[in-house]
Amino acid sequence: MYLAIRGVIRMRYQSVLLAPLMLGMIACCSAQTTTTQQYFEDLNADNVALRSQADLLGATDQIASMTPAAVRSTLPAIFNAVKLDGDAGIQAAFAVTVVAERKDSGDLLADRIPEIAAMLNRKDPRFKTVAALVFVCMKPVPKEKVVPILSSFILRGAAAPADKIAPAGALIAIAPTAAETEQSLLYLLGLPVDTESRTRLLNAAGTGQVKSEKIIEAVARSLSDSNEDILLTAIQSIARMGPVAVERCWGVLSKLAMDPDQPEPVRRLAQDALNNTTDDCRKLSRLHMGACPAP
Amino acid sequence: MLYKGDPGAVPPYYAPIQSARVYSNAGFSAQWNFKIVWFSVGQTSQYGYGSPANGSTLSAADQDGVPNDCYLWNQSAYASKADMHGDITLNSTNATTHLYGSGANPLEFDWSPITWDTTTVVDWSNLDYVTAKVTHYHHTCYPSHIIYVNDWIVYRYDAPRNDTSYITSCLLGLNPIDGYQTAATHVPCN
Repeated sequence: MYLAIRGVIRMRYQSVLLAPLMLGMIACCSAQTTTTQQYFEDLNADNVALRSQADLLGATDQIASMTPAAVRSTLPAIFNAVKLDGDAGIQAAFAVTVVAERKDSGDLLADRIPEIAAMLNRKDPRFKTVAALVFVCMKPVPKEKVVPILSSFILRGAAAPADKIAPAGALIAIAPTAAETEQSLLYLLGLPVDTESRTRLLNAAGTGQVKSEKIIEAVARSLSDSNEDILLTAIQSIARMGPVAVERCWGVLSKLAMDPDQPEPVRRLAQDALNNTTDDCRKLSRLHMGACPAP
Repeated sequence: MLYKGDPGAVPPYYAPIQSARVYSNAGFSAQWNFKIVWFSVGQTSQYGYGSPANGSTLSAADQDGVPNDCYLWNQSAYASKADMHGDITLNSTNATTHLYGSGANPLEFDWSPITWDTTTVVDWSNLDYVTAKVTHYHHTCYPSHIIYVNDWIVYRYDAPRNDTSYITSCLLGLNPIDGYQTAATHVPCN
């Protein structure tokens, strides 16, 4: 019988997710015909005729070079449009993130914090992520106002756990050592969530700025998870949390690194975590701050 | 911070790869069929102050091996594959591969992942002219997306911009890239 396919039919889908994000390379737009204010006033007037992303960017690309007074006069139209549902509201919410990128955003958005916080309670999860993103990007971040808003949303908000992860990430970025952050993160890490949400949470916690031993312990519990995705993420999070976290988990990581029953990526990443921490420790030793654990 | 993504992807792209491999005897008396979907993410590396060390591009000079100091190479991690999925429907003349999911930079504040959902039909009804057609694609407008069949590019989207505003608008789901192909691409077997 004729063998039809002698070779291997292979299909590969590729997306440039982790591309070299040179954030900060602001491309210029072509000639702009609509002012930012006009764009969002039009959006308020007729949200059915939603304009294209190119038109939106044509309007929002102007924000970076506007005077503070011009931004202030534009904000009412933007925040009115934020109240719209669907992509119209998201377009306006996106414009708020562009304002938040400005060096004077802390001042410009100081009076808008309640409106930004209100986005956390919108049904469309994209509004929640915008609120988190704007709070993180404000310069400076008004921590005394933002931290209680985010922690209250995480601890008492009615949203699903998955919708609270971006706000939790914002909380960690803004106030990694705050008691509210510890309480919020421990609450989320203690919830039964799906694999994706668990890995996102572990990633969020995996920063050297988080010093809480309780959070380290909560993350470390996932080092015994049978799900490989969760296990791999937990190893990497512990590694990123730094030498103190790795030392606390030294025994478990060593066991994972040597266990022939573990998948190769698990063994390799566990070994990397141990090796990198040894490097860190050597640095600390040079500063006479402590001795290295045995590799 | 600067980022370098998946080194296993085709240069100059750095990417996670979702793959489907179909081994098939497509003759009348098929003796075996085998199908497998797998997901691959390469290492994402983060670089801080002092990078790029040579003033233009990331290079070996940036790899100082000291983690968590925000200077030159700072951290590396692998993105989660928890939300990467795929399935294959196979018959005697074609295979339909559905790849879909999401992914996020594991070293960044995770506020919104990129997403993709594509269906590609590989048709070998004419054994001398195997073809592939993307019958449905839907993905975020950033980053670039490519579909290969037998190492031939059958779909390619190049993101037009690479700046914060554009990326943010895409990750908020504005302007998703959506469509289908009307013509098939010849994809000779290797």
